[in-house]
Amino acid sequence: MNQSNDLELIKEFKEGNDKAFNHLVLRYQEKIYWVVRRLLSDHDEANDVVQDVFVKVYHSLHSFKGDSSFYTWLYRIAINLSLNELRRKKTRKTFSLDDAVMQHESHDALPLEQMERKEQTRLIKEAIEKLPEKQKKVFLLRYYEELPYEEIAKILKTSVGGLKANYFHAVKKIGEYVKNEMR
Amino acid sequence: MSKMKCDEISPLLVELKEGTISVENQALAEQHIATCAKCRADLVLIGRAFEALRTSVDEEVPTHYFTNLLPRVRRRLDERDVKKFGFVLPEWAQRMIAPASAIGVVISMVALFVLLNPTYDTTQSHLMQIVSQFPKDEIEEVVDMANYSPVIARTSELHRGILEMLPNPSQVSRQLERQFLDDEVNHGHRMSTFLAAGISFEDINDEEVDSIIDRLKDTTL
Repeated sequence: MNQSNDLELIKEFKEGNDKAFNHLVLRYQEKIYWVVRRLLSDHDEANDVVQDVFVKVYHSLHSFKGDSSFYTWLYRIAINLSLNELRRKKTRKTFSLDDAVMQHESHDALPLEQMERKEQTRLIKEAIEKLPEKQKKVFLLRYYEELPYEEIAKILKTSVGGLKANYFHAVKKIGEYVKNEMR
Repeated sequence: MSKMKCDEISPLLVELKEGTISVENQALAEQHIATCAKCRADLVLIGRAFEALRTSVDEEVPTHYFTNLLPRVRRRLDERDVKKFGFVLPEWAQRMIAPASAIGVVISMVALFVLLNPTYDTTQSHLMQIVSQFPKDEIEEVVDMANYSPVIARTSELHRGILEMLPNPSQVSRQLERQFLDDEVNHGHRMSTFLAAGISFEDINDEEVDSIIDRLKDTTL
């Protein structure tokens, strides 16, 4: 992350250059989208929350003091809003019979390797959805965002030791789920 | 069994499979695993998870999603910035501004017409003066015209009803007839209904209006 460039853009924004905000959005939109998408598992819900994140950033940027890096602060907002949405909707999507039928029908047309890939993707998605909130946050930031534990600790305001334990349990649960579903 | 406890070794199992473990910790982890079935089983599960994760793919994002995200965010910000009198209008209220303003203008113009037209009078005496000048055959003509308009059709029923209530209907000029119809259309049939029934406009609800109109219908020609 280009921290100094982020701070320059924020400084420009605070001085009245509204377009500096656009650069921040363009820089982080994909990262934030995937963090939110993996937490919510649904594109339409993620789309709404991603917009909420950047709207909130816009209105809060004047009060950003730089105690943490900008992307740490941004990630924190994204995770909090995502989890708020998750709690609000209590989304624990289950794989419906209709989905199973559709998947079965679509698999017929695919090569074996692609079918296996699709199946693994489905299992992973379901396994992550079933993780407890804390483990899910840590897992997504560690595995998909590839953030070091120290950065995750700043984002989630928790200890590195606790994060490592959460990550272990998350990965183990995913492994258990995949193993059980593939029996 | 090694001296390290399972919960101390657990995070190292992840690092072992990730390939990020230090040499020293690797030795500790392998020593523990050699004698701990539980941690060996956990290591297998972690390996299974990473294998599935490596095989899985990200779901697709709609085409042009990221191209359009910033404009969407900007639109949201613009909507939030619409403030009237110190508070933010919700989106549904913002959509209502134009039609509400148009209706307000129409109402104001009608009210202005009422105030400025010295001959206008919605009192019962004025209404009865006009209606009393309607001959029966001219009422029939009005009824024919009313077939082309639901508003005038309703009005024609009132014409009939009111006429029946009068003792001596007499001749009326076209000008007065037109004025009566204009009064009805501009102010809604309810006004004349109330006046004809001798009831104050303030006291009427919709059910009572319908009841009055029904009573007037019963006194047709």
